[in-house]
Order: sequence, then C-alpha cells, then structure tokens
Amino acid sequence: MASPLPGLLIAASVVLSGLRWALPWQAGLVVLTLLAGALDDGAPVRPCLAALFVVAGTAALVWGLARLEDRAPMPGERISGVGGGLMLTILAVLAVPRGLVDAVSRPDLIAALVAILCGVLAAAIRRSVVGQCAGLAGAVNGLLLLAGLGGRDAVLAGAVALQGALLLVAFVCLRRIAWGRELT
Amino acid sequence: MAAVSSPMLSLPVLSLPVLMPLALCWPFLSMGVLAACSPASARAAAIGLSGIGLVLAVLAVAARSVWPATPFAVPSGPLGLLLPLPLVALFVASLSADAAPGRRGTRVLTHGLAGGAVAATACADPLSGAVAIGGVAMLVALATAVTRGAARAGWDLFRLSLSGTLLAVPGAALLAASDAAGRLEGLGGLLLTLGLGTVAGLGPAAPVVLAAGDAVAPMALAPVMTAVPVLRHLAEGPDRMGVMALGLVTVWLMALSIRVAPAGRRGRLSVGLMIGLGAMAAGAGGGAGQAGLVALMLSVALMGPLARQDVAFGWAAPLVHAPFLPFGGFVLTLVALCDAAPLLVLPVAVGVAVGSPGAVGGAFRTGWLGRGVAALLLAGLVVVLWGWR
Repeated sequence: MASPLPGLLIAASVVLSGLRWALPWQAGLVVLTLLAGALDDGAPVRPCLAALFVVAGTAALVWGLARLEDRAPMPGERISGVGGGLMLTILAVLAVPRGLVDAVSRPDLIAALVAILCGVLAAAIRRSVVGQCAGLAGAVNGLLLLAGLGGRDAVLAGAVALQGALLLVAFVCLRRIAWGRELT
Repeated sequence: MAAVSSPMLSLPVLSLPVLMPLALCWPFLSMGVLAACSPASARAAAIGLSGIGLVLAVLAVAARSVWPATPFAVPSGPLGLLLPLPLVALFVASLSADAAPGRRGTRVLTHGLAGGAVAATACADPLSGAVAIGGVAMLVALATAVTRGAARAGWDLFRLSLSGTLLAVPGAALLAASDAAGRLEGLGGLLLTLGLGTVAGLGPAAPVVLAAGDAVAPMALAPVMTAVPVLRHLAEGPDRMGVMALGLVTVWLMALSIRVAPAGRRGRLSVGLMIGLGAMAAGAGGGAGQAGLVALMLSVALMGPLARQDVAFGWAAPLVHAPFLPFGGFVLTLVALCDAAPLLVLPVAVGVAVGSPGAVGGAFRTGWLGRGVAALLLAGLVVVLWGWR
C-alpha cells in the first residue's frame, strides 16, 4: 500500500470512537481501504466488488444495530477513550523501532497497531453494546491493515469474515438482550 | 519418511504417525456420531466415544507422536501431559449424569470444544495456536449467547475472547516475522501474552469470565478448554515475567472474591485460583514449574466440570473447596518460584491461604475416594518431579 492515509484514518476513527455514528464510519473506512488497495493494484474490479459486497452485507446489520440501541457515550468514557488512545499511539510509536523496519512500512505498521490497541481499549471501556462493537470493528480493521501489509491473503480473508461475524453476533445478542428487557 | 522407505518396518513404528492424526480427529468424528445418535443411547455413546478419545490421546502422548508435515506434535517435556486434559474433562462431564448436557446440540458442541482445545494444545506454531484458541473461546461464548437469559454474558465473553485474539494474533505475527528483532520481538511477546491471558480469563479479565459461568453446560468446561492450550503456549512463550504477573493478579482477584462469594460459586472461584497458580508456575518455568502447571491443570480438568455441582458430588466437594487436591501443584509452584522470584513466594502463599474457604460447619468430610484420588495424584507428582528435575 503506497499511502498510510487509510491506516491513519482508521486510527483516528478509533480514537474518536466515542461518536454516536461510529459503526457506519468504520464501514466507510473499510471501503476506503479496499478502494485505495484497488487503485494501487491497477486491477480495480475485484476490490471494488469486494467493497460493494461489504457495504451490502453490513449495511442492514449496522442499521439494525443503530435501531436497537442508540446510547450516547458518557463524558468519562469519551475522555478515557481519547486519552488512552493518545497514550497508546505514543507507546506504539516508541515501540516500533526506526532502524529495523523500512521507512515505507513503518507508518502503516504503527497505524495498524494503534487501530488494534485503541479498538480493544474502546471495547473495554464503552458500556453500550454498539460502542463495544464499533471498537472491535476498529480493531478488526487494524488486523485487516496488518494482514494487507504482510501480504497474508488468508488472514485478510479471515479478517473480512470476522468483521461480518462480529456484526452478526452483536446484532443477535443485542436483540436477545432487548427481548429480555421487554419481558422483565 | 525414512521409516516408510526402510524394508525393516515394524508395526509400532508404522502406527505412530497415524496415532496423532487419529487422536486429534477423533473428537470431531465423535461429534458426527453423536449428532446421528438416538436420544436414548446418546449418553452411553458420549461416554464411550470420549473414553476412546482419551485413550487415543494418552497413547499419542506415551508414544511422543507427531503429525508429519504439520505443526501438530506432542509438546516436549512435562507439558506433553497437558494434551489429554481437555478429554479428561470431557470424560468426567460425560460420566456425571447431571453435569452432562441434556440437549443434543450442546452435547455435540462440547465434543467439538474438546477437540479444538486438544488441537490448539498440540499446535507448536504460536500463530496457528492463537487462532485455534480464539476459535474455541468464541465457540464457548456463542454457545452461551444463544442460551435463554444469558445473552449479555455471552456478548461479554465474545467481546473478551475476540479482544484477546485480536491482540494475540498480531503478537504472534510479529514474533514470526523473520526480520523482527530486539524491541519489536519484545512487543510481539507482550501482545501474545496479554492476548492469550485475556482469552483464558487471567488478570483483569477474570471477573467477566467467572461472572458468566453460572448455569450453561459448555461454560462448565470452558475453564479447561481455554486455559490448557493457553498455558501450554504461555509456558513456552518469551515473556515469562508477564505471565507470572498475570498469574499473581489472578490469584489476588480470586482470593478477594472468594471471601465474599456465596457458597454456590466458591467452586468456580477455586478453579480460577488454580488457573492463576498454574500461570505463575508457567511463568516460573523450569522442571518444577512445568510439573506444577501440569498438576494444577489436572486438578482443573478433574474438578472444573463438577465445580458447580457441589450437592450432587458430595465426595468431590471438599476437594474443590479446600485446596487439598492441587496441594502438590501448589508446592511445586512455590518450589519453582523460589528459583525464579523469591519475593513472590510470600504474597502467593498468603493469597491462597486467604482465598481458600474452609469447610462450612463441618458439612463436607473427605471420603475414602477423595483421599485415595488425592494420595494417588500426590504420589504421581513425586514421580513426575523425580523424573524431570
């Protein structure tokens, strides 16, 4: 991948995952990443089809999740998300040494690590299920970036499948939780 | 390959390469058989199939079998004894009528979980092992999530295991990268340890795992199915001090929780205490540490499925409540810590002493069966330590 822009956008989105519309933002970033890969490859048909498939497959789930639960983050969650995310970013910059990794892939590697760490952090501190799901989606995006960086096609396909499975499980669990609330 | 081309083929040499694939595939084959079984004979079939799987795994360990051209092999040293432990837990759960899951789908799923745990334990490659462990943990979470009334617990478990897997997989990938060295390798080891510890419910993740394990049948086996492969990989990992710290935090969290827990949940918390001690033993390393890890995990495999059934298993209750059965593992862990970090011996001993609840009003008395099992295990531990030190 020629530019670290998608990775940095993913990292920024994870740090700012306290927003209410975090999930569509994440899905848009996946599409952006795939399209950027398509422009790099010179064979844009298959990645564009994949992006279309991702949008078509997840749009309904994202819409359903947003309908089931729409809880704004508390100020404390927002502060710890942004503060912890910035601290993790600094730690990742320090942890990836300058000399060992070549200059082109170092920003991508840092961006992928930041996305994974901040996503896991957001999944740990957010209280709403949709917020936790958005954090995990960001972490899976980071894994996607890392797999694309290493040229591991199997991990890439697995991460895309994991993204869909994550949204599906979150939808099913949230629906059952909502049913439980209605019963009690 | 050399054995195949040699004209002097002997039957044991020829059968050894077959043993490992058979032992790894058997639980998945028995899933299919159980799915086709009639409900009347399902329990007998589950007992028989899990017993055969256990015998196959024990034979594979005894023969130090490997699956050629794959990363599957019996772990070296005392860690090899960890391989049949998920099947021990499955066999115990199948034997006990109350602990055995009633629904056909759940029963089939527990066999699949045991098979996945055995495969993840046998996997020598950290990256494939992390993926397999994450798959097993997420299956447990999904089985919990689809149970009536446990959707929130299932989602919390799924979130936790996915977070751990997402940390462990990049860590293993960084470790496996050929040009990684120095700080990058240290970062990979740290991520792998943190991720696997999160999946197994060690450290700060422990309360979530234990809060979820009240009623659902696959959850009773979950501590064994996730902790055994995780501790096998952590024992051989590069970040020993991190594993020890995770184990210490877990021991203290359990010790604090047990004092205020209701009587029904103390069994599960005792299992968590043993897993934390096992992580400390894995971090301490050496012959004593590995033997202590095996002894503690054997206790978890025997008692984990029964830990929520105190009333039905009167003879097992005192063994679960008082740390009598894992006593040998505890002693070995302390011996290993004396070599690794003597400052940790006192806090661990205090934590276990504070955390082990006494028998309430003399209600539990150790029967002859419990004493016999404990004496047998202690004698086995002495032999194991004698052989490997």
